[in-house]
Amino acid sequence: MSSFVYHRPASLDEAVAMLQQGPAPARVLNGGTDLMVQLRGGKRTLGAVVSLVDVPGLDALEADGDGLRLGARVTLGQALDSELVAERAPLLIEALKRMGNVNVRNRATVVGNICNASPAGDTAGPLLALGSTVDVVGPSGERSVPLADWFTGPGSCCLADHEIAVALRVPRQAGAGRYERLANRPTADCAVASIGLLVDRGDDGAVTSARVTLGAVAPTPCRSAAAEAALVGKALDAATITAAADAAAADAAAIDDVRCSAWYRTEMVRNLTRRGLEALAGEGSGA
Amino acid sequence: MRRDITLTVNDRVYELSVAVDRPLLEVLREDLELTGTKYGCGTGDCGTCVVEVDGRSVNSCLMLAVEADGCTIETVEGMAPGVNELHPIQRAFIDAGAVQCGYCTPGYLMTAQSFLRDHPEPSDEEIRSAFEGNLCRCTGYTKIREAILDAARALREEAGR
Repeated sequence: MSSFVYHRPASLDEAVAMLQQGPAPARVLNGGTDLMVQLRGGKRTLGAVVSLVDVPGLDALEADGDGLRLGARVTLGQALDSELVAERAPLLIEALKRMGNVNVRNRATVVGNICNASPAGDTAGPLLALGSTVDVVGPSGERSVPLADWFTGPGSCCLADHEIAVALRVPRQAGAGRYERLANRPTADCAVASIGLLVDRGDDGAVTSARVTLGAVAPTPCRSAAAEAALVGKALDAATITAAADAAAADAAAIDDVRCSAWYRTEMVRNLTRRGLEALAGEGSGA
Repeated sequence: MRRDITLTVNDRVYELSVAVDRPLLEVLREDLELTGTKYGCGTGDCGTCVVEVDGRSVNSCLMLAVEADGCTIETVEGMAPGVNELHPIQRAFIDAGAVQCGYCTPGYLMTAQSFLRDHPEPSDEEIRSAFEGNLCRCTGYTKIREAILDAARALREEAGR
């Protein structure tokens, strides 16, 4: 690991100034569970890291209207243990409990997972399905970015130079959720494919709204518009589930890599989508 | 670049000047000579470097020492209450035969200490899930699981007294 300048700002304004001060490239150090591996493996070289340890106001996990607000320093472990998250965004809990391991979850942060922008990042699907927003602070002030517009490629997001993601805002979950994830080892390994599902149904059992997200099978975590369209207005029966699973597989843009082949990934998208939808169908109409 | 930091490790306060790019693990082992904590994978997968930082188990290979400035740290060397006395978790590991080559043991002990504090009566499933981040390459998992259950029982008895 080649050395870098370590900044330890005491406020958000100071943190932005230190990102600008560099030397470039400068990056925020939060939980460090991704960044440390990248730095030590020589996959990333930095001129400066800006620690968020002393920046006040980033630790809160709190209600935000009907939904949630997670400050940048909220760890995966804190979110996993939070009754507020369990009540308002249970789909996110399903992803969190299958991420890393307890020791990693004690350091890694939810916002960090989004900023690392891995195509396989496990919080991304549930947060996309829930319609989350990222609050960003930078040299020109504050802005909010819908997570749907956040990811720009493998490992990259729309965070500009010298900007800091300070919080995630997550609307309250409507409908029933499932997170299906396949990896060589159940948690520690990066996902081969993952599917986020959020399905709301009316009194007649017909799907009124659907979110289907794909992880690890495209350059960025994304939604499958075709799978969602195959679900809305339909009863969650065998024919609908098959149509949605096929649509999700068709929307996958998987590649061959060290973990598995594109063909296998695509078939797993089909299977995971089917498995998740069958589980949701088995839970009843919710009426 | 170096930085002055203060670490409280096993109840002792250390004032140190460390290079900013050094992981906590390296400073514990090389500067403080607390070599009980081991280096395994360096990526947070194996758990052999686990220590407690402010009461939570973390991979010390993935944390910069400067990030731990001001923190209270416990390593495996801090577990035993006295020179000739073992911690109940350590005792349970020995009695159950849960130590083979021993390289993974400090990480297991530290993870177990955190885990049993939050789960005094752990289920089998909870144990499996809590130790997903600790690898034993001797594959002595059955004995380790037994040791953790025994340790939980011993700690409950101790608390009940």
